Amino acid sequence: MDENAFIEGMARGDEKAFREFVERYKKKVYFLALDMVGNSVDAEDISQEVFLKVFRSFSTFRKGAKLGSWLYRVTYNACIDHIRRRASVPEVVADEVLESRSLADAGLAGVAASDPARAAESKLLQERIARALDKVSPQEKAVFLLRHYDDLMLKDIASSLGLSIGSVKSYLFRAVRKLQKELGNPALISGAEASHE
Amino acid sequence: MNDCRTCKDRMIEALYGELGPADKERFDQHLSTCPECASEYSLLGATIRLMDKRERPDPGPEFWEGYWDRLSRRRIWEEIGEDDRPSFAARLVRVFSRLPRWPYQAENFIERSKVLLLGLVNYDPVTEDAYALDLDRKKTMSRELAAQAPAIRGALNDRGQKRLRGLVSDLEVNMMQIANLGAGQDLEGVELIKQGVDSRGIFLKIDLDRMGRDARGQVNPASPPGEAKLPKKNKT
Repeated sequence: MDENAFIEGMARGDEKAFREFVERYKKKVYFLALDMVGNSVDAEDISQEVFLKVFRSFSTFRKGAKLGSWLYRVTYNACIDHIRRRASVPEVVADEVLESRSLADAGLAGVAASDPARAAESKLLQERIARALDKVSPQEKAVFLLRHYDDLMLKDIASSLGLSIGSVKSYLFRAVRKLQKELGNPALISGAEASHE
Repeated sequence: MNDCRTCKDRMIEALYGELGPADKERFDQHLSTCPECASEYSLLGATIRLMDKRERPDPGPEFWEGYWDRLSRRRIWEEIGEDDRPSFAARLVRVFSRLPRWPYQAENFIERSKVLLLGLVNYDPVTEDAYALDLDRKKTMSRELAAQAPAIRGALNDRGQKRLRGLVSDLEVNMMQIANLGAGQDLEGVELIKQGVDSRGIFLKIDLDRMGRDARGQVNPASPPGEAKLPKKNKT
């Protein structure tokens, strides 16, 4: 089903079109939400909220606009709402659960068994990257994630988030600079470069 | 291009390959004569390459297969909620305080915990490779679910929710046990969890809860096609 067929079907409230739409975009929406809010339970909750909102408010979709861009914008707004809401609600986390953050948690157990040193290095890197991303504002983060991991062009990000291209470039530049500042250990960066080459 | 400011303006487009050929040529020319810009560009490029190494945990095939069913159930639940026509004041409170939808969240928590436990219970160490179990992902998911459980449990205060609260507590314990499995392929730990799930009749409790809510009309799953497999033990 192409984009026009989705649009026509969803405008009619067609269940089949909605299902295909969900199947096509569920991963993109879920991963953007996951990257923005940082945990999979909230990411699924947000992604479902997004699809239901899109289905229920499809009449507000502007004809001629890009469906994917609209979806990204709804997702972005839902994530920002969630982040604001979360800021005002203290999180309840069991101590046992926090204490369980072990070497295996970064998806490294298999590596750890065969090469503990490499697993530890890799874990350290993942932690540094996560910490660095936390220092980036939600707007900068969204622009960075869409460009870097979803491979959206700058102009598509601008239309998705309702920003000018200048603002997108500026957010992205600030994001990469902040990341560089946080990850700024030259040895770490050159190490990554060496293994990249 | 002869000024550093223009060069910096274009660094992002250059890094992501969005500069046209003529602009790219001018950009490269400036870099070859300006060590300061060249150094900044190189550092930003290294940062971007480092970010390629970031891992995004995929929740796995069971999660994606059940996604539509969970979404459908939530839609039904929310539509039932709308039919109840809460008062205007109640709706305002819900909008402004963003009250969580606890019964839905409890159902979602139970479904996700069930999928996770089924993956564990159906694993057969004799015939399957230990890595197929993908314990790391299960540990990450269970940690997140365990972190959600206290809030869900605490919000189920009605007298009629006692059994549901008990089930959430049971599953919370299971989630913590999974989250606390040892590094590597802790198959002994997995076996203990399987025995615990079996002895406490967790799947039976989940099914009873589901049947109870079906009977009360709180969920209407309409035999979702992607429903998770029952534990192998129950099939025989």
